[in-house]
Amino acid sequence: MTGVLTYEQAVSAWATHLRTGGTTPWRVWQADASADLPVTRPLPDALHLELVRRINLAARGDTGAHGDLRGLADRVFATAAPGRGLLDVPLPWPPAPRPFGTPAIDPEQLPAEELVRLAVGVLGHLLPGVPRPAPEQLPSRWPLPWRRRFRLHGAPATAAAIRRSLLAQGYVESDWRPTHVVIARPVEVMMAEHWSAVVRRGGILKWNTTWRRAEAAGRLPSSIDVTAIANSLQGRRREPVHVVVAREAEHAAELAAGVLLARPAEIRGSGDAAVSDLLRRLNRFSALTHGPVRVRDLARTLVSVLDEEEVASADVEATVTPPASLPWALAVAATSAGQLRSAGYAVHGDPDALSPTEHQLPGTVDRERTLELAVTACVRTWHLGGDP
Amino acid sequence: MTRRVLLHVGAPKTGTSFVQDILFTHRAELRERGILYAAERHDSHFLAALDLMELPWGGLEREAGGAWDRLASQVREWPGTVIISHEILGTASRLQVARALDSLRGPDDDTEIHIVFSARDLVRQIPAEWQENLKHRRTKEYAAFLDNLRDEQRSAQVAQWFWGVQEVPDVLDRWAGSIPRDRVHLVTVPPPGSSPTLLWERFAGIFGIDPTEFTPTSRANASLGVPESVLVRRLNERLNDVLPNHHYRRFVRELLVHQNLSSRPGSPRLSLPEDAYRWASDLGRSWVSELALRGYDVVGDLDDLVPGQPVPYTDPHSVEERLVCDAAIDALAIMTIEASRLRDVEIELHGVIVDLMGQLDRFHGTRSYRARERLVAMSRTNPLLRGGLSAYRRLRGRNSRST
Repeated sequence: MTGVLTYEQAVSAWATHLRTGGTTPWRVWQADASADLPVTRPLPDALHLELVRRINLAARGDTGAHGDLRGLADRVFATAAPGRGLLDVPLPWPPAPRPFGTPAIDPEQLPAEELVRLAVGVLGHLLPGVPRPAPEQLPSRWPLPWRRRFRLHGAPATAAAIRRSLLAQGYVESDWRPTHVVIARPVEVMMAEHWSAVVRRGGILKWNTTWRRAEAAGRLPSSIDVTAIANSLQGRRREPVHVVVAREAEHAAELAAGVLLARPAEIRGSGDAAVSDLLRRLNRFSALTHGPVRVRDLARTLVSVLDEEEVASADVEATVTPPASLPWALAVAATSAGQLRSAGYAVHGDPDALSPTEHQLPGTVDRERTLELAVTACVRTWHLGGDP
Repeated sequence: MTRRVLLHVGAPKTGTSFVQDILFTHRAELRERGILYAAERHDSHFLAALDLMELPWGGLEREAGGAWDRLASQVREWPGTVIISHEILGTASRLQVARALDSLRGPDDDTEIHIVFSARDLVRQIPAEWQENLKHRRTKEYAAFLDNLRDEQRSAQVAQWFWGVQEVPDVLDRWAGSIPRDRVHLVTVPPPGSSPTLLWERFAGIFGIDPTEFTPTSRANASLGVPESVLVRRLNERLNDVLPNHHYRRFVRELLVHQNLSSRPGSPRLSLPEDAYRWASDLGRSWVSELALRGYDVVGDLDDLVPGQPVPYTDPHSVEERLVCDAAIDALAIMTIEASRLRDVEIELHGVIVDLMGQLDRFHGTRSYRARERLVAMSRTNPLLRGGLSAYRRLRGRNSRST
């Protein structure tokens, strides 16, 4: 956009366009230069304006989002992007750029990381206004002698899905003489499920850091260290211990069902790593703005807002082991497979399935996907009554 | 009476810790003179800054919730002069600045807000910032750090932070855009070789303090030499995923770096390579030209911000391994001494525990204690005794489970 307008007038006009649901990008935006255009104070920067544009775009495409978005733009404009990053990013404008300050960036070219940072700040303001989701109610029965009792261990998300199915079939999860089933899947899948479980409880570590910490400790996190779990259970009050090893969740469910003589659970995927990435960013932010005690609560609200099944995308690639940790992951998988073969307890499936996928991928979470989820969450949270 | 709020917003590595130490140490005397430095702990203003800017900081942010609003509330209630000082405030965005300034104004809007910014020439700031990065567990090589700073797009986070706190014209644009020029005080850090008290005299003049009345109790953080910097960077690589932040702060940053490595004599000092020197020098001069036009109250001399002559450059990437090894042996000695001191503390505490356990055992061995213990055990199966014990506990007025 060029003309006789001042930078402030042009930016204010675009902000007004976006406030009313506009989605025209800055590079093709044409304001009416003849109109008497007021200037918005404080003047939003490229980051705030582009996030509003992305929100407007998402609101058009999100079938779960209905209703008025007016007010959300002002909420975004009033939210300072938390944490470290680019400061007050100007929009490209013909006159010579300032010799100092953050360089002008075409809003469409802004790094996803920056937009996610601001979106997390917005979510931090909106989420406390959303009604708390009801906790999941799982069927609970007394562990009477004639009821089949089990105790699941290992890959947290896979185990949770199998647990839900078993409880629905009348099984009881109990510590009173249960059949122990340890669910083992490829190391990177178990790590992703562990990471997801940790961030849902308020964790803040990145995917790569989670790997580095495990590598530095020299062992898998205790909840997914399947050989250690099985060893600790073996011989315990003569309770049977079965280890189920499967590459796919569906196969793990079939094997577990076979052990417990139940119907296999229906499992859809192993979750979206971008959800975990968004959660850990939110956790970090909400610990500061709402206090450590509210972190888990807000994380749970975000999970319910996103409703993973609804936002699931077929294009989402599985998260893989970071390249720097791949040799260690391969070694751990090989050692664990060897121990499973020689330990003497019942192993179902091929222990080699523990081995991580060897790849040439970056091994990081796709930031664009995190941004997509963050924007969707902003829209949905707004409609659910956010911004208390 | 007009309320004055002096908001010192940076920059890092310009004697800010030294100034904050004086203000904190003498806050009671300053209060008697009508000057408030509202801080219950040494890092109160740091926590307030983290809160204002919603800035994660190695877990410390968990202690910062509401810290800015609490500070602002104290400021609004104080009728005289208030000083707020933290160097990371320099990186606040315009929205955060607006929130900060609004929160500090009193109900009658009679508050005179002054922005204070201390600046040092860029040629000295760049190596100092890299070393500061190292003290915050970073592992970036010096050459990569310099490349990041020279990237015009400021793609790397390290560059975004550096320019956010160090780019004097932009920091003052953000903080002082709505402040009259005569209330914007630019304190220049004197060049090397100046009187050691000159910087404090400059600050004290703005704060309305007699510089001779309040003197520093500790020295400013000395900078690391090149081999020591290399050592800390390598140490970070080893420790980053195994040592929690609170231990890092205590053992590496405080004990090793601040108390020992930074005072090692004879090490080559870190400077800029020739091309980086020319670039930083030109940039620094352009800032000085810009600042000269702005009409701020310059405390000191803008020429202080013009870099001096280049000094010999020692590349951290190719520094003599012998020098790094010497520094490492010193570090090992320091850590060994500290480990043995802590071991002595552990042995002493172990002795105290053994003594207490002995006293407990002797107490538990008395006849009356054993009799009461038997009664409590019997009350688990005897309802009559259980009722009696419950009545006894009610009469005694507490519900201790101990007999």
